[in-house]
Amino acid sequence: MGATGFQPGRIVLLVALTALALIGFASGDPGILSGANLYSMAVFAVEIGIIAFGQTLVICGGDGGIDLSVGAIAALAQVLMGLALQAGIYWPVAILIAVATGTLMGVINGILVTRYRIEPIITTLATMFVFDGLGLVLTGGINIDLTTMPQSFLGLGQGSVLGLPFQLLCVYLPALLILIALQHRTHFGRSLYLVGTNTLSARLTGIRVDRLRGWTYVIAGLLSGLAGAIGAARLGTASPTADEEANLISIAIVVLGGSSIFGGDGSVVGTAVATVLIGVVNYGLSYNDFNPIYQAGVMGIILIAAVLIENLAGGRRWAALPFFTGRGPTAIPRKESSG
Amino acid sequence: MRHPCRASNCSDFGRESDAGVSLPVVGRAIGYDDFHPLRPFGPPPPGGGRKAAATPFFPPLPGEGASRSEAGGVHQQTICDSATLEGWGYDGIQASANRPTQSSQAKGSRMSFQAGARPDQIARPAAARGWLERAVRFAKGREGVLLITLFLLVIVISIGSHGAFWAPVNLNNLMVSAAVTAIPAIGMTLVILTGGIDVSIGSMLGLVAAIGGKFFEAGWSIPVVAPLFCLIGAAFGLVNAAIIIGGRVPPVVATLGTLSIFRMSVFLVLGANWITMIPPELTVIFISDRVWFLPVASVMALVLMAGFAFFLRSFRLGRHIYAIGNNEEAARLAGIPVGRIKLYAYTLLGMFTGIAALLTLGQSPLVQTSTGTGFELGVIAAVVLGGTELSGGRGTILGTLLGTLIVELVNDGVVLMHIQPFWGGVLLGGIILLSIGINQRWPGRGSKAAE
Repeated sequence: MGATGFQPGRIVLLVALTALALIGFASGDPGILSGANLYSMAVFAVEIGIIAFGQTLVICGGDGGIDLSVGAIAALAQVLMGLALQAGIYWPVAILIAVATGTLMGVINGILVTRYRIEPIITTLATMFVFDGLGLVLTGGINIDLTTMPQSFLGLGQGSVLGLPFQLLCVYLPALLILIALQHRTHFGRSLYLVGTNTLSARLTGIRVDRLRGWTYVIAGLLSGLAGAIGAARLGTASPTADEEANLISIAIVVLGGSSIFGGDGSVVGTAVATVLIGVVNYGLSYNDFNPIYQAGVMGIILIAAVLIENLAGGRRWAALPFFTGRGPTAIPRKESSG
Repeated sequence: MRHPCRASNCSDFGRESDAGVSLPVVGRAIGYDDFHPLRPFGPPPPGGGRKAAATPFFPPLPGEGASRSEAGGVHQQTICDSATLEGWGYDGIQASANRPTQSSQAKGSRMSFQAGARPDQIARPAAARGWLERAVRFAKGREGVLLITLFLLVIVISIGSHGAFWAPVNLNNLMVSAAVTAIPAIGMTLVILTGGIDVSIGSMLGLVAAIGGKFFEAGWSIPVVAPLFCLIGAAFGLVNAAIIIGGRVPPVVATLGTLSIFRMSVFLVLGANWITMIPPELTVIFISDRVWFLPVASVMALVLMAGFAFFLRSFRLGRHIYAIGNNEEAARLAGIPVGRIKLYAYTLLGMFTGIAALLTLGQSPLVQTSTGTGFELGVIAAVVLGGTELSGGRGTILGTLLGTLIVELVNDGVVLMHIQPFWGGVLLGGIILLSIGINQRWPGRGSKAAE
């Protein structure tokens, strides 16, 4: 494709790692390669994959951009959707409520970060608390049962089309295509790379840096709301504690997918491929009876290892092999850009 | 190797500005203070300095040349003089070039160097101020606002809890839990002052408690295990530091990773069991024993806070911490061992987390897999509430102490006033956002936004 931030070498590497992970798990128990298991992997990976798309854009915006509240947004969105469904609201409207809630939460994050100049880490850490707390307050800490809802609603998370999960074919892939177009074929996406790489030159070029960064949080919120709705439909429950680890896993996916944590690099394509890898690892771990805490721990190891390898090897020994890193040594900043 | 000029040797180095004085320079200056033994009458009026720089072909007016050369001396890293740009006719570029450094702070401060400092902003040496003036300045500053908030909170909770707040048991619990938060908050203040953050200390506390608990289970005595708590904590802090400094991983990402890795390790250590064989003497030593009317834990916290407040004010290493947070590159160029000092900060935070783990076991003699979950948020909230800026270089231990008390009062108040516990998170998050938002809009003295 040759577009900015698109790293073909990284994608080859990720595909190889995914194959390796599959072979590793299969050597323990070949049953994991059965059609039903691969189908479940796809089902589980879709939600975190959608959240990771938004995270990609936020991190791409640079200046410490990061969204720790994505999981809390997903939980709050599905709680509000669940309450709406319980109140007898027509289900497409309820899904719209979830998406609108996510968007609104994204707007709040965006305003706090760009208008009030609160650091993204602390903004989203605080809003994570607020959104999580609101979800708990609204439900009283109890899951909302949605199994009695119409089949057409539950099909959002449980249906299948052409032998593939409905949400993969009809939500995830369209979202991927739209975001590829947004990132590589629109003014917005291309400006975002400049904003993430060099805020000052972006500003001097006439790009409205704050507005652009604000929109990335809105998109992240919208996608998190959508993921929350799908998750609730899949499980038939709306839980205020859903997706607690989503922030960690989505950041791990984004970093693994080749985005620079300092912004201005990476692509949703890399994120999508990394989602497959993380999906396989996560599913393989739960297939082998590791509890969610261990899964999160492995995600943490992967996250740190990815950045470490990037920093330690990317700039030096591998510099001669852009195939593996997708960029030269100059792309690695020595320090965080100070606002 | 140290830089030959030893600029960092100066007591003035990296010190936070005492008043919101607008500097006649673009970019960030380090080591600028309104009071200096060599400059007893405060900074030069910005207008004067500007004129002198704008006409470089003419000799400076009497008095101006001296003050300018002093302001632009070794201690000040001036990227570009706005007045020079103006003199060159780069008005438009200067305005936009100025934006990224300034606009990430408060709006409106962008033009302050052109408007010049208001007369009341031009600071005089502390000795020349009246007590009333100083009191008003304190009340308008960050610590003053926190103190007033604290009083209001106490009043609200006293009324809301129908006096249950003043029960000795409650006050005692409050003091102990404040100490548990305050001790790591000192370390967190240092880490945030250098421009970093550590979100892993909740899991770290759980892990230290689990490992230390295993020692207690094996029958080791308190005098042996207590130092081990500090050492284990310091070791985990060192792990974070190694990843962050050695591997150049951004602090948020690194500690978000170790947050889950430490939690996983708690499971590995504990299995599916609880540790309940914590010696009851621990509670006696740290909680029940008193110095005058304060529990030992609170005394430890107060002593450590006083010590580190003094350290940050008066020790060269303490000034270096501020210098690193203000401008890491400049600090490096000035010969400050940036990496080593950051390593000290993270390790110290780990050690203090170990102490907090010990005190937690004194509070409730039980280690389970969820011990310490969410602990980091209270600590970060306390530090941030206390006015320490996340971008580094600004903040005080006194602010952290007041921030800790506010956080603990809110937690206590939620329980006493029979509010649903779910509201705790909402309140804490809301308070953090509100206080930072207020700080950005109406910056207190010594804050970057005021420059």
